[in-house]
Amino acid sequence: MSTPPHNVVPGYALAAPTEQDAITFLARALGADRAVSLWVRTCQDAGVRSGKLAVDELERAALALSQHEGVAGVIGNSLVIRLRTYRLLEKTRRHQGEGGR
Amino acid sequence: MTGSGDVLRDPARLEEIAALGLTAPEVDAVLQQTVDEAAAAFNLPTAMVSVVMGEAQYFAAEHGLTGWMAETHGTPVEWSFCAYAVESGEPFVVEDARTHPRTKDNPLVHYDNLRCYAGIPLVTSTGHTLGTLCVTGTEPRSFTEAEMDVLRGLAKTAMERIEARRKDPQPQA
Repeated sequence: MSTPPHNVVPGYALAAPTEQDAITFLARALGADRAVSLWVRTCQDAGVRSGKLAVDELERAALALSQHEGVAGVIGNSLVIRLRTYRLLEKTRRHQGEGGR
Repeated sequence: MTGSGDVLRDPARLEEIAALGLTAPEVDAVLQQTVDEAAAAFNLPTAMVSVVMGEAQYFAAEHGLTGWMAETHGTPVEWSFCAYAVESGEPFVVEDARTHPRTKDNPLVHYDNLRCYAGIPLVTSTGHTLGTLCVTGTEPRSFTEAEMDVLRGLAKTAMERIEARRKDPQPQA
């Protein structure tokens, strides 16, 4: 049996959300150009540098996005839930691993 | 979720969710009372008003959630039972999630012990299905037509409260 990538929660098959996910989600609703410009601006507002964000930086940007009105805010909320789900399940998995299970 | 996601990602539907303030962190008292009543009426541990967005579902009110879902107040949309009701616009019922073809491979079934489910779509006056009022349990269970009528009635109450947000988008304390 193959080992899942390190950034995927085993069993749940949930990959760590990425900046590209955020841009893809926004592009589906707003179009590619608007998505990228909105994302870059949102990262600036959140005090993080768009490019290669760690999970906690991505969560700060997602929270900033969730404060927007309309569809962008809804997409921000979706992203926050996906990030928090990943973080909590990954933490549980790590603790189980440390416990020898 | 097995559909294309077109309904779930429909920008007009997502605009409606935003306009009604359904992802606000404050829990509306009427919606909370509705989920409390739903759990009691079905003698099930969990009930929710679930708002199904394009990539995740958000629990705008919940009764009985524990573990990580109590912290996240939602899940990725691909694990959402409610998404089936939103996509079809019809009630979705699962008597035994371990054998139901749409849910048997869902991680919430295998790792979080979700076993039975009944959800009624929450449809706005403009025709958008926002999510569901649903009840869930950890044992297999059937749902009678009379019970589904009770759930429909509670969903109607929830929807009336949600519609009232068009005039006042703040959750009722």
